Amino acid sequence: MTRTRCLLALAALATAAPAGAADAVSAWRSGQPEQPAAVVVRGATIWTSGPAGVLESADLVVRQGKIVAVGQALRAPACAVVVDGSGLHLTPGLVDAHSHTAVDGAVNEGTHISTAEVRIADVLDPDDVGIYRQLAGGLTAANVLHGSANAIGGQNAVIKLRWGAPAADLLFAAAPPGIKFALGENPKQSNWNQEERRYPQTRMGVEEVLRARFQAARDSAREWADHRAGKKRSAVPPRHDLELEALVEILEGRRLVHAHSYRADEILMLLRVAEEFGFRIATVQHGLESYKVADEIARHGAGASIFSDWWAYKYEVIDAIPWAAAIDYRRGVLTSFNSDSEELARRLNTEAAKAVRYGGVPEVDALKLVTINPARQLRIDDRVGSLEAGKDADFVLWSGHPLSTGTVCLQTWIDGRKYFDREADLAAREALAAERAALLAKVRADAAAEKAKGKDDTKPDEPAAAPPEVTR
Amino acid sequence: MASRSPALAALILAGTCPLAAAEAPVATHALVGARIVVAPGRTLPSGTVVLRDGVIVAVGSNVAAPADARIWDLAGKTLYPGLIDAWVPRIWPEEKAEDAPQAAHENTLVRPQRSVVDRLRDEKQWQALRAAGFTTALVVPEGSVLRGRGAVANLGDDPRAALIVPDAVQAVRLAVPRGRDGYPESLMGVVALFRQTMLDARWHRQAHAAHGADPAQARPRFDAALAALEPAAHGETTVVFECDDAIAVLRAQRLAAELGLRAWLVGSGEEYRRLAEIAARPAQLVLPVAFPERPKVGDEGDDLTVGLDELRHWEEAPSNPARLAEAKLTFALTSFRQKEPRAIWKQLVRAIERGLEPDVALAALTRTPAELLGLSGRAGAIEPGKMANLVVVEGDLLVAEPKIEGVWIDGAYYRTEESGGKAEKKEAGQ
Repeated sequence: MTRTRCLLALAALATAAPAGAADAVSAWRSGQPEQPAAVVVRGATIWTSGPAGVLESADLVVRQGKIVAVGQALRAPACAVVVDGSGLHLTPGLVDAHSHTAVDGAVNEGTHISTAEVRIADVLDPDDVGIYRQLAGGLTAANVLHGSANAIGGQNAVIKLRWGAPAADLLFAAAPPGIKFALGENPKQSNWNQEERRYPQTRMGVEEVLRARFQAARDSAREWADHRAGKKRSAVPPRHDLELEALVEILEGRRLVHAHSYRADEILMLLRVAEEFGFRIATVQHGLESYKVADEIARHGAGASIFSDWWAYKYEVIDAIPWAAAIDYRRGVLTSFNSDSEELARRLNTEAAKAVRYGGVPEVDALKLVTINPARQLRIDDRVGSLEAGKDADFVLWSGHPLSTGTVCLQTWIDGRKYFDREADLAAREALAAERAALLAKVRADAAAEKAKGKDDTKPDEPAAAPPEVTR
Repeated sequence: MASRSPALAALILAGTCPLAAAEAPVATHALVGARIVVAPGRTLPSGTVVLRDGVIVAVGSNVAAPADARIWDLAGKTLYPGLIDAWVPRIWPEEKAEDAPQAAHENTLVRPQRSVVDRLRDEKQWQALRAAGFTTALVVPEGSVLRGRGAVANLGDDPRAALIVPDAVQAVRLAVPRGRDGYPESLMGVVALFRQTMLDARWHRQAHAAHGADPAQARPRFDAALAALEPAAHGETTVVFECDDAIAVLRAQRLAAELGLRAWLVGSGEEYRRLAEIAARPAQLVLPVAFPERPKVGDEGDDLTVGLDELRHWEEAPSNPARLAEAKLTFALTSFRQKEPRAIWKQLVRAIERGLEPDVALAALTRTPAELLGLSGRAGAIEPGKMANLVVVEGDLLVAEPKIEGVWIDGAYYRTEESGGKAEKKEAGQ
């Protein structure tokens, strides 16, 4: 790939995109891309997001989906698929620590104040075109979360964006399980959902809900332990309660808590309740006032996964500032930018750039806000988030500097498989437009044939057929 | 009512009326001179079928009619085995709060103890099924999540006589009912409720067994829903998942494997999209052939109101049965999702045009559902010892508008009402 070809591709995008192409790509028709035995990217500017920093005119060698070497003038197997990276930039696949993409049905089970038993993994929708669009922006992994309608929401699913794979194969198998919590207005609902008033209606009530559910979880764990140890006279076993079992996993440090929160006071409350029950919060999500309590968050060991510059959409976010990431980062908080949006998830690289603009975070560290840092927050950093030998070959080839708004993603690879290729996408559009035109013609021919047949039969005019039923 | 509903009127027009029931009971019938499709791929050019006491007693080219038999001259007609519809949902009234069963699950979507036997017969629905050639059906309660127990019945007049298997399957649909207010309101919540309830049913059996062995301890609570669900939750009886799309089929397969359930899947018609993945696990499928209507598109140029995926589904859906057969998946066919059962024939012809073997299509309406429902010895072919369930057709059955003259059910003949005027008047006068 050369700059010229890349510019041509961009020109093609501007002129050749046919109408109606937006919904044209379908996961079920895509199939899984091949995994070449070896891949080598030659001569790129490689942002490793690891100890090696940025390497100029460097190579990346991949074997069977794993990175085996990153550096200058590397030897690669003769059979390797060669990607010409000269003049281009290579980064780790981007990681989104807060996503609601690829969910079949509602993102909230908002009925109960705790729904720890519901699982995003049960309803992953591999046909969601959002997956493809985000791949096209260099995203390779996402923390798909339950919504924020209840203090204790459902279980998350960390996925790789393996477009074309069935739901079960989207799951990032090595990622530890997690769960969504939420604080503030969304769970207490006292300022909006008064038709269906639900306990609690205050922030102190949310705190008490957390305490009550964790106490119930402790009691349940003890009941099971006693039963297993044969300590009870009764041979009647306790009931499996999937809500409490998820909470027990949190208490035992086996399930990561990702907590939607805005205000400094509620963030402190959550950290203290967790410490009271002997576990750590994995991430404060959004955490728009996290900069006010950055030291406390860092001391607790939580991360902050925040918005770059999104605020003023409701009163509880009134103190949000675009310098939050820079402040959190300088105070030693493990910080990331997330999308919380299918649209924003297509351009997390330019979100990262905002940390350079607001607060002067060095470029290399700014990119880490959407690569290794979210990977560390999700405890998948031994597999992804940086380009280092031994890690998964999840990487992105960019047309230019990854923090530039003028840059586009050219290729996105996951597990050493090319899931997105801008040139291939542009080339396919013509075929998709032709397919569409052919099908439209067929529909019209079918309608005309039926009409003609109706006339032949000299039947009286029939009433118009009912409109087709919408099935999805 | 009929005047307000064209679909209903069409249904009645195509209805059948029981003839044998109105006359003096004749126990023995000889159907003489018909072409006999004994089973898919096995045809006698001309022969006699003898029915006695609701059972087929003789079939063959050289069978003589018994002296006591009423002779039916069927020269020029074709006899097929009675068709079996393996998924017939029965409308179920919404449960009023004051009618909630006692000692039952607190969630109204968990009603596995419900039995369709209590509301088995719907004359209009059964008439329409008979008019399409069906003689036997798996009838299940309509609804969402744990809907209740389905029953296999012959579609005759008397539900008590017609009932074959009263407790055949547990009907499940993992979807949020329209207008749902309360837990669960999301698909993931529905799945969570289903999983928890299955675990609770296992607990219910374990807890009551433990208590039964030593009653001098705290008594576990009794729950009629969980008690009814125990066999299904332990993989002893069948759970049927009604699936709204291909992803739902895969989801049901995963859940069945996770929870150790014996499962069948009622498909959506989208299975071709995820064929390899569906075929990778055990898949007992009941397949609708209700293909989408032609998309409404403008007269010329592009029409952005129609998505490419909708156009593709219109194009590819009729190939779905053939594609499943190609993938070596066996399936039963159902009239489910059709506006009316008779519409299945027009659709089936389209599926055959796309490569579905006619014998496979016929088997999917006879032998395969018979096997699925455990009726192999009693249904699915015109053979001695099997129930006297047959379809009488002038010409072939597998055509867009088969001339189904009537069906035999348990040895009684139900003639298709040709004019239909009488039935319609009766309906209009109500």
